[in-house]
Amino acid sequence: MSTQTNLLATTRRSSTIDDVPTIPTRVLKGIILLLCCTVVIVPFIGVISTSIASQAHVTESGGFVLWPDSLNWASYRAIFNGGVVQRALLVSFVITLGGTLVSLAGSTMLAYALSRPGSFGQRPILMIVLFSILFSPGLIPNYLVVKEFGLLDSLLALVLPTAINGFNVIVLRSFFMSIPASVIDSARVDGAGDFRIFWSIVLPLSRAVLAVIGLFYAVGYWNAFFNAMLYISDTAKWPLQLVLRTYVINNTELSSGDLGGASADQLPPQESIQMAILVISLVPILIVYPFLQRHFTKGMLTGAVKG
Amino acid sequence: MLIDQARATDSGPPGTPTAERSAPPAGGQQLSWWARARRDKVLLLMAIPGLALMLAFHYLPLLGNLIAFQEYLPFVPFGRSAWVGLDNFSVIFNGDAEFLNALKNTLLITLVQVIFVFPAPIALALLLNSLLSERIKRVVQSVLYLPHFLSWVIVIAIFQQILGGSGLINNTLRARGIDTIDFLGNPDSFIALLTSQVIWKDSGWGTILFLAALTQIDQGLYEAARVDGASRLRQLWHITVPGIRGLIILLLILRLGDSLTVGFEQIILQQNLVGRPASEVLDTYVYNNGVLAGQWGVSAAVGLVKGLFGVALVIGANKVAHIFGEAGVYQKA
Amino acid sequence: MISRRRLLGGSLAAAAGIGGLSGCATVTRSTDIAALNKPVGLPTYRRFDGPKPDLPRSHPLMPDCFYRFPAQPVRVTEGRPGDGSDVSGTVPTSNPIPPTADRNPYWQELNRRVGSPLELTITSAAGSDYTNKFATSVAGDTLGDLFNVDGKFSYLPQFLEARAQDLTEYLSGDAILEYPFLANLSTDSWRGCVFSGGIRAVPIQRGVMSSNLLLARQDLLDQVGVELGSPTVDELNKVAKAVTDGKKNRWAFAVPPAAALSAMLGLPNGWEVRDGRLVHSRELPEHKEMLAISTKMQADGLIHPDGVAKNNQKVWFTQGSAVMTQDTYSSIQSFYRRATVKTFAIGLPVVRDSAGKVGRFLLGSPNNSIAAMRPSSPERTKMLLRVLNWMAAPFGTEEYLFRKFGLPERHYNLKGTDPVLTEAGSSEVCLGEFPIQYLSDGGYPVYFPGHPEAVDVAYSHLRTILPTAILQPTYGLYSPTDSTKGKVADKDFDSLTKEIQLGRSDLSDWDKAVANWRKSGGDAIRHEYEEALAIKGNK
Repeated sequence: MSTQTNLLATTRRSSTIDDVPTIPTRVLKGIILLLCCTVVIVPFIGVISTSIASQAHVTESGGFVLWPDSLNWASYRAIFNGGVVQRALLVSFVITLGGTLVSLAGSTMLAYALSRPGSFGQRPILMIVLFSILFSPGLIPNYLVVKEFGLLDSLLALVLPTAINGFNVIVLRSFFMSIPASVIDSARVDGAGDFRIFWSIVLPLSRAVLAVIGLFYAVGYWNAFFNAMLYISDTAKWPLQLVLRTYVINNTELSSGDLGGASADQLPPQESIQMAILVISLVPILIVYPFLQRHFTKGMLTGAVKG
Repeated sequence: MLIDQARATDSGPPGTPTAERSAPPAGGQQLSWWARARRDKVLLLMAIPGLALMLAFHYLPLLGNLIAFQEYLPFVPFGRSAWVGLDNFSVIFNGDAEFLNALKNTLLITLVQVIFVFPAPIALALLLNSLLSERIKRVVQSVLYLPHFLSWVIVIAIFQQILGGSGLINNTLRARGIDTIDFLGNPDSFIALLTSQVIWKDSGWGTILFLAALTQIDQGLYEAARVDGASRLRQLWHITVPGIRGLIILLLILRLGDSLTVGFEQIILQQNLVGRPASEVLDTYVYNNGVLAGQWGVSAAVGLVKGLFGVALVIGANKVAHIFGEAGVYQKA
Repeated sequence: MISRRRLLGGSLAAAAGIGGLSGCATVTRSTDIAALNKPVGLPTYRRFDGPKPDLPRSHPLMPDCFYRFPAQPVRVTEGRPGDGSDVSGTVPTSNPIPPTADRNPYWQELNRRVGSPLELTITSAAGSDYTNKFATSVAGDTLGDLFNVDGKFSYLPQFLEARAQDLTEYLSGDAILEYPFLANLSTDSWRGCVFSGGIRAVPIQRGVMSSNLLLARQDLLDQVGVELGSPTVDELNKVAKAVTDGKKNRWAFAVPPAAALSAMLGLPNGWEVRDGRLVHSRELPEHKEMLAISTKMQADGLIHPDGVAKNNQKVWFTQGSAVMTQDTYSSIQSFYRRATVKTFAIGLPVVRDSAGKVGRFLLGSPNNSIAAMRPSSPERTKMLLRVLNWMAAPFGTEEYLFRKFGLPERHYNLKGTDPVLTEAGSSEVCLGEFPIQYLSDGGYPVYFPGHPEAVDVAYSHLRTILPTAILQPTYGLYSPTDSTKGKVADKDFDSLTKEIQLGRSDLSDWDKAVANWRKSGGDAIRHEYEEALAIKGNK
C-alpha cells in the first residue's frame, strides 16, 4: 500500500513538469500568499513580543508590543511559579490523548455504520446524529446528567459528554461513502466481515480525513475549559486552559470588574501574561501539527483503487 | 476503475445522488427488518458506543429543555417549577421592534458570511493545492491556520491595537495632522468588520477539511486529462472542483442549519464600539433581555425555536441539493 | 402575570417543604414586597479595639488609614475556631489558583489554624464563569457549607430562604458580640445581608474603598503647568482642554468622568426621595445635563478616542495618554505598582458644584459580595460562624498577617514593617488574596505600602467628601421587578448613554427611552421600592 502511494506521488510530480503554470500566474499566487501570511504573522510576532516585553514597554505602547526592546521572561516565570501549570499540562495531555482516541473510535465506527447503503436503522440513527448538531441542551441539565452518572470530579466528565460530535460524524460518513463500492465489494467477496472491512480497508483509505477529524477532536479537548470549570472542583484535576484562565481576569470586558483583585498587579502586566498564556497553549499544537498535516496536504490514497 | 467524483464529471444522469450508487449489500431492501437487523448486526454493534454516548450526554439533558415551558429557577427542582405555557417564547413572538432588528441583523450577517466567509477556505485550499512545491504548501498552510487558536477576546484586542481610535494607524494619522478613520465604531461597516475578522481567524483552519477531500481525488484523472491536453484551469474546473463538491454542499447545508447563530462572543465584545442598533443579533438580544434577567426558560425557548428553524432549513436545503443531483447530508428515503 | 407569580410562590413553598430544609419556616411569594423587605434587628456594631490607625477617623465611614503595616502584630484570638470536621465552600477568585492543599504549606497551615480542613471549590471570576458555576451548583445542590453568593443570581431572597441558613438568632442585636470581628463590620454592610426578614448572609465588606471617583495624574498636570485644584464643571473643562494634545496622543480623560460630573451636578445615587416620591436619576434634567456635558467633552476630543467604548483606562492612565480617569480608591495602589515613571503621582480632586460647594459624593455598595451558609444544626452553624469570624480578623493583627501573607520567610519578607510576598507566597497565598477572602473578610484599610504620600492624598479627599457622601437610598431593599427587568434596563440605558456620547443618538432619544422604561417596568420598580422603603424605613 505505502509503496503504491509513493509510486503515485512520484508519477505525479514528474508528470507535472511539462505542465508548469505561466509566470504571471505564479507571481500572482506568490503575492496573494505572501500577503495572507504577512497579515497573520505580524500580529503573531506582536503576541510573542508582548509576552516577553518589559512592563514599561508594554504600558508605553498601550498594551501591545510589536517588537520587544528587551527579553523579559517574568510572565513565563510567573505562570510556571508554584507548579500548578505543570500539573495542568499533564492533565491536558491525558485528556487530549485519551479523549481523541475515544472520540475517533466512537465516531468512525458510528460513521461507518451509517455509511453502508441500506443498512438497518440507518435513517433514524442518522437523524439522531444530525439533530444533535441543531439542538443543544442547557447548562443545568448537562450538569445534572453528569452528576447523576457520578462523573463530577472525574476526568471522564471532560471526555464522555463531548466525545461524539455530530458534525464530525457526518463529515466522516461522507468521506467513507466516497470510497468506491467496488473496493468494499471485492473485499466482501473475499469473505471479509463488516468490521474487517472497516478496519483494514476503510480506515487506511481514510487517513486524510482521520487526521483532520482527529485534529478537530484533539484541538477541541485541548482548548476546552468550560466543562472542567463546571464539573471539576478539585483543582489538581484542572486542565491547562482552565488554569491559565485564572491568570487573566481584569482585562476582559465581559467580566464584572470589581472582585477585589487589587493585588493581581504583583504579576507582570496582564497583557504580557495573556500573550504568554497563548504562547504556552500553542506550543504543543505547533509541535504536533506537522505530523498530522502530512496526511492531508498530499494526494496519496487513490492509487490503491487502480488496477 | 474510477471513483465517485469521476462520475460527477461525466455523464451521470442528474437526479441520482452519487453516493447512492454504491450497490447495497447483497440482499437489498426486500428483506424483513429482522433479517436486515441480523444481517447488519456488526454494523449496529459498531454504532452502539457512539450512539449511546450521544443519547446519554446529549439527548438526555435535552429533555431539560422542557424548562422552555416553565418559569425555572435553579433552586427549585425541575418537577416543581411552574408551567407557564408559551410565556417564555414571547420574547421571540411579541414582534418587538428591537427583536425584529436583531433578527434582520442576524440574517444579514449570515447571508454575508455565507457569501464571503464560506468560500474563503475553499479558495485558499484550491490555491494551496495548485502549488507545485510541497514544502511551500505546508509552510504556508501551517502559518495560516494559527489565528484559529486565538480567542475572540484576543483577536478583537489585536484589531483594536491596530485599527482602534488610538491604534497604530490612527495614531500615525493624528501625529501627521490627518483626520482619523473610525474603523471599528462605524455602524455602516460593522458587518464588513465582522466578516473580515472571521476570515482572518478561521480561513486557514477551514482549509484542512478541503485539503483532505482533495487528497481523495484519483490522481489518475489528472493524468488522463493531461493526456487529452486539458489546461490547468480546465482540470481545476472539471476534476478538482467536482471532487470536493459533495463536501462543499454538505458543509453549506450544515451552515444553513445554523443560520440564526452568528458569533455571539465576537459581537458582544464589540457591541460597545458600534452600539446596539447595528450589532444586536438574536443571541445578544436573548442575552441582554433574558439571560441577564436570570430567565433560564427564555434561553431554552429560544434554543428550541432556533433548533426547529435549523431543522427546517437543513431539510429544505437537502431537498434542493437532491433536485440538483447532489447527495446532501442524507439520502432520499 | 399575577397568577403566574402566585404559582411560582406556591412551588417554592412546596420545594422548600419537600426538601425538608431547615431555616425556612415561611416562604414568601416573590411579589410580596412586605415579606421580602421585612425588617430585622441588625447586628450590634462594636468596633474592635485592634491596631490603631495612623490617622484619626474623622467620620463613621472613614476607613482605617495606615502608612505602614503595624510592627509586631498581636494575636487577637485564642484556640481554633473549627471542630476538626471538613468545611467545604464555593468561592470565586480573580487571581491564579493556588496549589492544592497537599502541595501548599500555606493551605496546610491555614487548615491547622482554622482547626477544620477547608475544601474549597474555586472558580475563576473571568467572564461569566462564576455565574454559571454558581447556577449549576445551586441546581445540583453542590455548593457546600459556605458559599459566596453570585450577585447576578436572580430571585436572591427566595433562593436564600430556600437554601441558606437563617443567621438571625446568631447575629441579631448583641448576639453577634460572640463573634467580635463580625461585629466589627459596619451596620451598612449588614443591611446588605438581610432578606425576607432574616440575616441570611455575612458581608464581604469593602466600605468606601470600592467607590468611584476622579483620579488625576498630578505629575502630568504639574508638567503642563496647570492647576486642577477643586474644580467646578467649567474649571474641569478648562483644564481638560489645556492638557489635551492629540498630536502627542494625550487626552484629558480616559473615560467620561461620570462620577465627578454626578457630584458636580448633585445627581441622586440611583433612586431618591423627592417631594415624597421616589425618582430615579435618569428621570431628572440634571442627568440630561450630565449627558450633554460629557457628549460635548467627547465632541471636543477631550476623552480618549476609545474611551467611551473600550475598557482599557488603567493602561492609558498609567501610560499617560490620559491625564484623568475614573476608578476606585483601592485602585490607587495598583496604579503605583504599574507606574513606569519615577515621578508618578496621583491627585484626587474634590469636585464642587456651580455654587462652589463640595459636590455630593455617590458611594458604591459597601460590600463586594455576600457569603451564605448551608442550613445545619445550631452547633455546626456556630462553628462555621466562628470560622467566618476568624477570617474577618482586622488589618494589622497577627491573624490578618498570616491570612493575607502566610508564613514569614517562606511566603513573605518584611521591608521595614511592610510584608512583601516572595515567589512562593505569590503562588501559595494567591497574591495575598487567598479565596477565603470571598467567604468573609475584615474591612479594607487605606494602606498603600511604600506610598505613604498616597495615603495622605486619599485621607484628605475622604475627609472632605465623606460628610456629603450618600449610599443608594434603595440599598438593602428588594424589588422583584428591579432584580429582573432592572438589570436589562440598566444595560439599555448604558448603551444609549454611549450612543449619545458618540453622537449616534440624539439627546432627545433619552426622554423617549425614559418614558418607555417607565411603562415597561420603571414605575413598577418605583412602587415596589416605595413600599419597601415605607416598611424598612432607611435613614
